[in-house]
Amino acid sequence: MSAKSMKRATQRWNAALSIALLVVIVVFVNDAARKHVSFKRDLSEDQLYAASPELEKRLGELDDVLVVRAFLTASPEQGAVQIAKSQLVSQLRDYEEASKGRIRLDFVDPNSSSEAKFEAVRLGIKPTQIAGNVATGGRGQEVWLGISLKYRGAERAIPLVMPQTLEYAFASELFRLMRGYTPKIGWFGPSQGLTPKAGDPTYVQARRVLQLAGELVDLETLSTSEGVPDDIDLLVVVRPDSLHPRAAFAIDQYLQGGGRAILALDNHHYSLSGQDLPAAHRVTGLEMLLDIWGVPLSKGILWDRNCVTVTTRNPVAGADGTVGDVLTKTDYTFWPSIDANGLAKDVPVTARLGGLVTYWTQAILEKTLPDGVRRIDLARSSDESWIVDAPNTVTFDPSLVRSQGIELSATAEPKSYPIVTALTGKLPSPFGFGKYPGAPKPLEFFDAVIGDKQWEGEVTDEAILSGVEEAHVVVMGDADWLRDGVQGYFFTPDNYGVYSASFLGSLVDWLLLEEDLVALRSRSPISRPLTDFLKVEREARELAGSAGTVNYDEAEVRTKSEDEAEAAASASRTSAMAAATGGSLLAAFLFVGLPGFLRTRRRSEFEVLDEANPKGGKS
Amino acid sequence: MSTEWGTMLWVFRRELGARFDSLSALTVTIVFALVAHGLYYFLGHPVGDLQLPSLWAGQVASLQVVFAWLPLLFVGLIPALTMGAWAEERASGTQELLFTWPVSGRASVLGKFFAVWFFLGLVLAVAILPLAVMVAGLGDLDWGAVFGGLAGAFLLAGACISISLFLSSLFTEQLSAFLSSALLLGLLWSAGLLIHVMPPSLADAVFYASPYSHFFDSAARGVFDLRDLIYHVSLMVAGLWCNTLVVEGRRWA
Repeated sequence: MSAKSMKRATQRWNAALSIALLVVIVVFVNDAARKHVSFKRDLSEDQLYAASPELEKRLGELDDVLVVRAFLTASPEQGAVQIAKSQLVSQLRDYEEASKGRIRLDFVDPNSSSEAKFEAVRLGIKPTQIAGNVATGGRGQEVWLGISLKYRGAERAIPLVMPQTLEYAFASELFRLMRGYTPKIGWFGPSQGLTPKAGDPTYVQARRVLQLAGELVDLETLSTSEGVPDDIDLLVVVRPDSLHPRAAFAIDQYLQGGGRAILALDNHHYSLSGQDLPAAHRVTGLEMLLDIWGVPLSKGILWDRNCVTVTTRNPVAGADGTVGDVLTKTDYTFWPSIDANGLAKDVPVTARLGGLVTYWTQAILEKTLPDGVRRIDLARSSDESWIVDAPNTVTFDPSLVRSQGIELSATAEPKSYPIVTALTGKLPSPFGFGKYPGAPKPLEFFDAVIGDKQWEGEVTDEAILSGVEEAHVVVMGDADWLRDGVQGYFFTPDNYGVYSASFLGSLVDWLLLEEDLVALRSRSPISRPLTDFLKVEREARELAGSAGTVNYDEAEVRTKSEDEAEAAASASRTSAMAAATGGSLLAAFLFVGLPGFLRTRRRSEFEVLDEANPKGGKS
Repeated sequence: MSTEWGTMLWVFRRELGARFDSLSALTVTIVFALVAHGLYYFLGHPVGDLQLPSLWAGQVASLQVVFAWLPLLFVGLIPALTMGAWAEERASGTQELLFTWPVSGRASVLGKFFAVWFFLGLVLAVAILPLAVMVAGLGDLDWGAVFGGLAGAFLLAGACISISLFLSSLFTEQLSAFLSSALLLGLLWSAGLLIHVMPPSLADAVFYASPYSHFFDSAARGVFDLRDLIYHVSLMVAGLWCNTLVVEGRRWA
């Protein structure tokens, strides 16, 4: 081998070794960064991907060591779970750093430590069974993804966390540990663990949201007990039906004592199951209270052009005798769809909520408020709403909706009505003192007997509280939005109920004075809808709120205006695309094509000069 | 140092000028813009775990779909831009000419790198900013996320370019440089999709090594994460250093 080729080989070896060393350094640097670097800033408006200021603030307020024990399976067999675990570890390390030494972080794997497993079970943390990775021959595995927090002798556990839910769950438990107790939420409504009758609404999913916020206590009745227990932090009253005045009195006195309540009310009961309850006007039993507080409910229900579009399938016979399904879309105006414009912007509960759908909704009328009471309308119907007599049945008929719309437009001016209203202040009581005409005098109903139970309190006019403590009440003109999901509507995690859980959870946190938690919960993406060109065009042509029938007869049924609206909307979309793409092409010519053209032209000018003056000159 | 900086600038200008001289720069920019816009308007992002609807189907004022496509678009675009950087110089013999000039290997590598990076930044701006303006006119666009995404895409492009340039320096034929570079970038991109079929310990490491996790999970959503910056800069430094080693080795061979 010549000296030159030996030198070349040595150089190659050196280069290869250097490259290998560099790869090792890159891996090492990134591994170290992954483990020890946690600087992150969210530049977006949504602020979804970095520890929130609210959590950082609370972590800064820790005045003792918070022991965080993460019960995480060391090596989940599924790659996706492994990545989720890594993200959890990274997030917990972020919190550790934000706490400036006040968090002591400890990772244990219950699958490899019987002591850790025993402790996890004691705390109520259970493993989740995941399917094995077929590609790698895995046979399934019990995966632990739980966390416990210990602060000043008290301990709380989060049985299952995922990266998306960690911050809220962690903050909730941390706040409760720092406060020192778990709030009690009293539930007064139907379906409290009993088997409901067919067609009756159930509230399992809404109750689950409440259980996350505190300890849920079922209040079987308020009529025969001593009223609302003193240790209830928040009272949730759902669809009361002809409440006895004693129950109304119990609610009233609870609020007079500085209580907090959510009242979800329905004057009309409907069902989608076909086994309808009578839709006639019903009495909640709380009318007196609402009236004296200045927030009475309308007798009729809201007819709102901004509403849910319901798709139904109906069998029809064609001309040739065959039977087929017709798909009909109806803008069901009795289900108002409240968009971001209808939600209060300056209240954390609704500030970032994307929308809300309510069902057969009463408006909350505007009446003079008692002195010192503040009213905030959290949600309102659209500007194109009317209060109408409630229909007796549920009918999805586009032509009926259209004719109703024309009739309403001709008879009354539309306006926006409050649907959810919050009241804060010292509320007057209608009971006793003869303040409210028609209110039963206390002795008239306290002496009465319901069932085999006797009211145990001894109440006189003087003992009735009125306007004593500041109360917080949220009144809602609908209770159906809390019902368990049916056919994609009501309280569903998707479709129209997508915001219901967020709204309910935030409302509870707000009333429990945990506004930091509201801020955390509402860290969902801000709703950013695009201009709906079809809606704009239809509104410009003053078309009724019905979407019409969608089937093979559609073209015949649709009016010329609707076709025009669709064509105009399509043209608008095309124009928008053409503008953006045209802008890009123009920019490409200006910033890429033009400089190239100018350079080429300049060079050819120099070449001409060179040819004209071959002996000299600069080129 | 100032001489080296000057020579680097000279190489940068020479490379960038050569790129602008040919119609290919304009063609690449237009094709990239049209493809990105078409995917955004009509297809959405139906790939992997991240399924996003197209602009009109989703009706949301966001550029997430475009950002989701960028790593894959880079797999085709960056090798095409870099394949000739060294391979063509070697094939046409201009490399030897370059070595005779008083230009160090480092200055040549940096000059070429910054020229491609600058051009790609221009292409990104030309393709994406008009889209952003259009969407902002139709809805409430989050500009923080847009600029974060653009900055992240620019960094990602830098890392990919340095790798591609290094591979280009290893080959004489442009096609080989293109294919090897596209294959490597494609493998890195697909790492995010393959985690479901990988052994868990490997999946975690591979996912972290994937540019996807350092772009779409953070910068494309408007999040600045120092770890992403370290990742991209370390890849850039590694790619450029390897490239310099190869070029210097060839100069003195």
